[in-house]
Amino acid sequence: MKDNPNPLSSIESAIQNAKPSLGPDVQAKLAYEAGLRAGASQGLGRSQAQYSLPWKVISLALAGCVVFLLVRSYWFESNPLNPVNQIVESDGPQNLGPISIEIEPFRPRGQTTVHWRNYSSASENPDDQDSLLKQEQWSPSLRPTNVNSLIDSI
Amino acid sequence: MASLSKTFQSKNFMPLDQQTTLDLIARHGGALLALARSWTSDGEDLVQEAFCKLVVADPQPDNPTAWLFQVVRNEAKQLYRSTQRRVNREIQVAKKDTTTQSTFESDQQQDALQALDKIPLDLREIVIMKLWGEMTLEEISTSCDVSVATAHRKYKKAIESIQRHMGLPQSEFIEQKK
Repeated sequence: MKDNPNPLSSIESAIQNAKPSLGPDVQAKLAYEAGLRAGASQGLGRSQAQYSLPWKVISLALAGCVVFLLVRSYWFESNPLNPVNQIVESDGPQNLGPISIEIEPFRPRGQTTVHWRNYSSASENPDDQDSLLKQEQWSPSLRPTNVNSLIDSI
Repeated sequence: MASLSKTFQSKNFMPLDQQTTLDLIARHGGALLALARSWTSDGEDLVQEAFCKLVVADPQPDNPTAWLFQVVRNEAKQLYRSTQRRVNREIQVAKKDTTTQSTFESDQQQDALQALDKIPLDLREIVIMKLWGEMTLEEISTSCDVSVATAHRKYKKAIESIQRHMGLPQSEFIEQKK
């Protein structure tokens, strides 16, 4: 004993020698449970040590993508400074005369094709092919900034 | 984020190795169970939980044995206080206990063990920690939150009480120590 260099008394020795021990089955059970806990903890430790940073980076990247898509969608479809539908009056080409053109500068929701229509000749039927001047694949860069060049291309 | 990282072990964490765990269970499992049963009848669960905590402790304690005895004592005492049920444990437990086993080389050992059961709890736990846990009085004083002098006084009183219960002359302990 560190505290007491003297030998144990006979009573102390008797108590010490009567130290109980666990039965083999109980020892095995304790060892099994402790081993399970150690194994689980080791797995957790490894994942924390090796995968925590990439996991955070992936999470942030995914969150960034979602935010970007939401902003992009809102900007191109709902920007109030660039209304979806805009009626432009034009003298038009000589063979057609004055026309009004519905300009859809941005992608209509759920569509991939942009239609340029002459509403002066359009009937009440929105699918009327006579009013369809041009249709083209939507792209983010699509900008009807020059109506005359658009009409020239018809 | 900082609080989240505190819940995980450090990168260099290594749980207690299996052989050390087995050795500790074999050497001190019974004594820990006896200590736990000084306070509560649910001793086996407490001992198991203590070993489970030990293997994943980060950092590992310098003295696992003292750490185990302190954890078992604190948990058992807390459980005892929460339930407020004092059970006359060990004599009853000894009659039907199949989880611990003691081999007695002499009648004196058996008498000493029975006398140990009869002394007050605060004295018995110090004897268990010192003689079975092989803890120093400094470690015991830390575990029991008393001064070293108090721990020594209680230990001496415990041995004298055991002698008295065994019907031995009170002078033996003192004479042996001289």
